[in-house]
Amino acid sequence: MSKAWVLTGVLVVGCTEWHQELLPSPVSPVLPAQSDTTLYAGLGKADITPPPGVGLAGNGPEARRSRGYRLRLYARALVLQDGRRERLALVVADLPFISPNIHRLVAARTLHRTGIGADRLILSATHTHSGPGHFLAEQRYNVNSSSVEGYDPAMVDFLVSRISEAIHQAFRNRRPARAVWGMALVSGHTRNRSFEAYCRDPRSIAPAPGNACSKPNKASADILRGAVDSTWALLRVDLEDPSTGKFIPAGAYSVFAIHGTGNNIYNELLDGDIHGVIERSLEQAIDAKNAVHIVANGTEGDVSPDWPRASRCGPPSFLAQSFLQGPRAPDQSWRWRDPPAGAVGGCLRAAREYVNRAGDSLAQRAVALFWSLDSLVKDPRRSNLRIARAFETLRLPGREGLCPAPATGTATLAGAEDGETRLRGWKLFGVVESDMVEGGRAALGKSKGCQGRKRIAFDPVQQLILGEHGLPETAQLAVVRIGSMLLGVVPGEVTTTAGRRMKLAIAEGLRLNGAAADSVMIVGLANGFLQYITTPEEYAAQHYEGASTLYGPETAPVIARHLGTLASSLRPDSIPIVDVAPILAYPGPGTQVLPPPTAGPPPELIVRKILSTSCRRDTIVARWLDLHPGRLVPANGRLLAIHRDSLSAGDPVAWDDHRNMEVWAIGPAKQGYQWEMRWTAPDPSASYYLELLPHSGFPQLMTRLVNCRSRS
Amino acid sequence: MSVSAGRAALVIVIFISASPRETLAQDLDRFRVGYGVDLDFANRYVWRGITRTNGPVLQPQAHAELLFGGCGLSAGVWGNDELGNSGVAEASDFAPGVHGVGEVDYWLQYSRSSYGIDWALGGLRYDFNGRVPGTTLPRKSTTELYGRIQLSRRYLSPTISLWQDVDQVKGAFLDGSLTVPVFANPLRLPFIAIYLSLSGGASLGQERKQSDTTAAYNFLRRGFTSADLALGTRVVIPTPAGALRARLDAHQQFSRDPLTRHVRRELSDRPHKGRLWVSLQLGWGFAGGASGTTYE
Repeated sequence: MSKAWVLTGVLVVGCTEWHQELLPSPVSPVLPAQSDTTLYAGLGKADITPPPGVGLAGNGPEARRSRGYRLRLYARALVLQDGRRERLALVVADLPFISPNIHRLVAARTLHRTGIGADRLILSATHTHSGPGHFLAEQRYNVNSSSVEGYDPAMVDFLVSRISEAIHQAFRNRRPARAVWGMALVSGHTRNRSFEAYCRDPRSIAPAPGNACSKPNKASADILRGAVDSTWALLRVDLEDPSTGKFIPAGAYSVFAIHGTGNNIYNELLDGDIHGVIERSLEQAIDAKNAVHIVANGTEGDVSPDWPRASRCGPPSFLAQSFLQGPRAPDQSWRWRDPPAGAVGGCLRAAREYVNRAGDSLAQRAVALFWSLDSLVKDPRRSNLRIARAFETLRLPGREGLCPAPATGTATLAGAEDGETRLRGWKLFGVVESDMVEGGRAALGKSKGCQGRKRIAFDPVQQLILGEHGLPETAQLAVVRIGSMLLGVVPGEVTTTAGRRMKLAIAEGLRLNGAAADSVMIVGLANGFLQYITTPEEYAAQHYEGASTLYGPETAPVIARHLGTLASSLRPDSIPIVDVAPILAYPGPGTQVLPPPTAGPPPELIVRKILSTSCRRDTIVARWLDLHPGRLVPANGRLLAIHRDSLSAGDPVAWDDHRNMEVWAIGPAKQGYQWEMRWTAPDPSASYYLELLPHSGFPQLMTRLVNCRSRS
Repeated sequence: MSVSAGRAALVIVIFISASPRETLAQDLDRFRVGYGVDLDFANRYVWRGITRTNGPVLQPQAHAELLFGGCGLSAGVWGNDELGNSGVAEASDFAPGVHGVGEVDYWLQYSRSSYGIDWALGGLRYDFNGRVPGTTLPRKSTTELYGRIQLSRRYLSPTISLWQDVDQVKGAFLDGSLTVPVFANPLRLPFIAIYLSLSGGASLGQERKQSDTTAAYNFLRRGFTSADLALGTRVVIPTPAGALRARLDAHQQFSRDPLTRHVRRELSDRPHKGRLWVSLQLGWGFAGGASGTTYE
């Protein structure tokens, strides 16, 4: 063989291998037991807001490129250590999903300093659809989760380092603690978006209420309430004040099922969505400066926030418009067209108002639940919790009745009700119906192969399109026990009924009686991402969730069975399963999406200055020149603050992490990069000052903001 | 109205109202100042069903537009450059053995859009350098005014245009088209779409007049001239140096007017009533300018 062929072979193999990454398998060490029986806890929080320019993920190819941010994104961490030195990190990031590479890489970083490896790390996502992508372990997700494509190793480093920092901070801050669980039913804010599929389980709506399944509008309120998991579980954490020895409320870990889809697909701002409001509101109620409220998602697979119709504008449509087309110009009149900007603006405004309103209302329930635990948390017998965990890495293809290869259905192409795609309901010639619908033609008349009634999209060439390892092949499952509560940890979006069955499996695994089984919650979107997990009955209906259940109708039963097995290993007479098997990631070729730290000119060539302040209706708008996104990273610190009356008068009334403030990256300008702040003042009659905070060697800048009272 | 005509009208209404969803045209809330240059290569040049050049042509053009508040003003220049020496029998603006720029057109257009209807009024100046096919007479340059209406919110996008020659030909031409997308790539890039379109035209005075056989004309007969059923694809691939475009269409042309029946210079060759032909267009275009919108 010639040298050229050898060289070519090495290059080809090298390039192929480069797209495959062996993830670390950090297993937590066994820590020597101690005589102290105290529960320790620590809370931490790290900003993970990337610079604008990255793609927003969660709404698939309809999702936009970010052009700014509203509620910043954070990773929030709670580290618990019981008297036997069992440790656990419960971490939630304001991200659309968590990928196994992020989970494993974070665990590898935290292992040595905290003793927390992959098996003790529960890392989940709030599922905000206004968070970044580009970090996933599966190539297809890095291509299709946003209109901005690509896997960026820099995004992985960015997230891993900052999420790890939140855990390290929580570990450093750990102190003697008291913690107690509370639960409440919180209804009226969520709805089952695939009610027809939900109805396929005859027990869901028993006794059968006539035509409720086909016409959810006619279903009784009880049935609709039962179609979602309304349970809010909250772990209140009080930490000892070293100076007084008293236990002070410090934070909480919540689990509640709700999609992070308050914003619509036209949103262009990084945003914590409803979860962002809930997190902040309880933090504000406990201790505005130091409290940490971690909000994990539950069985939200088919659970939408109850957003108003006005917050949705529909997807872009393929329409002609010859408006400017000249008689001799090339025909370019047909385009995918957004609804008019005015209509989109109205939808965005309605969505933002809803996010704030729903977030506030849900937070009120969380606040009430938190303070209702006052007496319980003061009882050391109830609040000195013990911890246990079991963890398993499952390779999915062909396992226990699962399909040998993952596949998505045609209903996946249609999108869910929260984020309809442009293909949904598409008709050939505007007349002939396609399969890109939820239910109906998306379901085959009878089962065909292991994918059952799923009408596979682009069959029979889907595998060619997806690539050999385009979708996930591994699931990391865990069951953790924190006091009386059991958390089933699942890397996907579990539907309400599938979640109920998983809870039962966990309870049966531990041989709990019926009452104790109520203390089981499912934490979804944790430690990885398999898309959706439906029951076999829901799967047969082939709504969006069923079509996006990758390994066939047996997926949920297999996962429930393994959760049961993990739970059974937590029995006092058993040894917890800890299986942190190696995982191969196939994220695809790396590309640069995250604006780099070298973007634009260096600080010494930038003239940082405030350009203007003006009004747009009741909104105060200020523009200034600063560094380019990439050199300027929101996560590195606050950018600006608003003061009332004067700059010296106390704390700012707002900074660039406020529900009524948007920060937009406008574009490059002659002497820097133009940024814009839009803020609606709470008191239009007051005088407000803008302070641009010092950074990168730039001094503080300030100006009085224009008063928009007369225009409101 | 007869029963069959009523049914036909109903079918047309259903087709016209068959939209995948309620959507408005987007550009109206935006302002835009734009310009562009394009260079197209085509395997032939067909104008109103008449094969003007039965061979490869290069068609450069430049255009500029201003859009604000639902109104648009646009202007452009376009040329047809015959690349090969035309053969004795080939349809061409030039004599055998000659090639060059046979036509340069200038246009100015005012447009508006309201209630889902796009309409435009404009003028088009044709400057001809060649000759009337089959003769030694120079083709006379002329000017047309036109009006165009398109239902832009409809999935089936009907367009009707009326062209009134105000210079040499002294007559009008009515054309209409219906286009329906069969497929469009939902992903951002590349732009790929397949369309089915039906178009046709009628001469309303642009035919040869018996009363004045020396007057310029475009057709030989009054009324319906030809119809064209086309299945075609457009592919647009943006590059940093402009967009590359490809357009491939298969046409089934149904001809009534004798001038639309010939693809060759001599009218004595065997005329076709219907013919299948393929058009290929490869283009490059660059567009610049500024636009903006605020989601307020």
